[in-house]
Amino acid sequence: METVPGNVKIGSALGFIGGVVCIISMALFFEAEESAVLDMGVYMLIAVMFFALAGGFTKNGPWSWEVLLLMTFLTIGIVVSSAVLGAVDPYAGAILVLIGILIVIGLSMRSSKTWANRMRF
Amino acid sequence: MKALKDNSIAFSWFGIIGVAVFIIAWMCAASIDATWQFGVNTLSEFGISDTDASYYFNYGCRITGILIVVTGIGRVLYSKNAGYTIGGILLAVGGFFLALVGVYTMDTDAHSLVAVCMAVFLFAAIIAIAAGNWAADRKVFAGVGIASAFILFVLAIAGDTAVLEAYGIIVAMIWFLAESVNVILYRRKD
Repeated sequence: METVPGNVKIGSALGFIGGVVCIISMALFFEAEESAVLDMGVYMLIAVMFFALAGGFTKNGPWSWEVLLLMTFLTIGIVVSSAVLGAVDPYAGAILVLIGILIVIGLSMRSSKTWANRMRF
Repeated sequence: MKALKDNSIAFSWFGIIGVAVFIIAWMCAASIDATWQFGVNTLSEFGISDTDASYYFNYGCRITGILIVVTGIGRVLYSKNAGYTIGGILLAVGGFFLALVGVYTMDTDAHSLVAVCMAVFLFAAIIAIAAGNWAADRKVFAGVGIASAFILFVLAIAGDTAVLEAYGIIVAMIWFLAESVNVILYRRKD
């Protein structure tokens, strides 16, 4: 049976944590105003992106290593731009960017690249 | 024929110095002109300030622009693929327009044209160099470029000019530092 590298397990866990942190932030920083729907939509988009990243680390996942890395950077980009524009709370944004950077570091390891490219259909 | 000696590390250091010069000029100008507010006033307002902030900002733009032109030329000279060549040319042109921002201040007619040209050329340079990094199998640094380009694009369509300038320049400086580190790391590995 194939042994899953520690980096991959941590990457997947961080993806889940990112998604959960995002949902919790949405509840914590909710303000009942007209633009609330837009803000909630952005929080949910980011949560979906993080959960998708977590899924990308699984065996027979949908993405190659390159696409996984690209999606991670895209998620970081969405978080930063949303925080700058005020849709996401800056503190929650900083935590999510940190989680994204940790996922990138995990993906940069050689073992993650080898495993991610081998464990695909 | 004598082969060109690879001095790409030296050229990339010009980029790091350029970022440092701009940060120092920005900090000095902001500390002198207390009326300027981050994300509220545009950076170009430093250029027409009644205080000495105008000197710091205008000379900072000129020096940083020249240093970016030198970095761009270095990119073209030691280019390994078309993405780097095109990106280097765009970077040099963008740096030239940044230097002109320090010459044509906000109270002149040419300022808007020069500032927009600078932003467009530097944005295009980020995309071209990211493509070059992707082709050269430097995927992480390509990702930094893609994320930077995405953030700048979103800020350009959704934010106002003051927000775009203030945060956009910080994002561009982070990309510039990452790209300089990229050149230094991979040149040593080669």
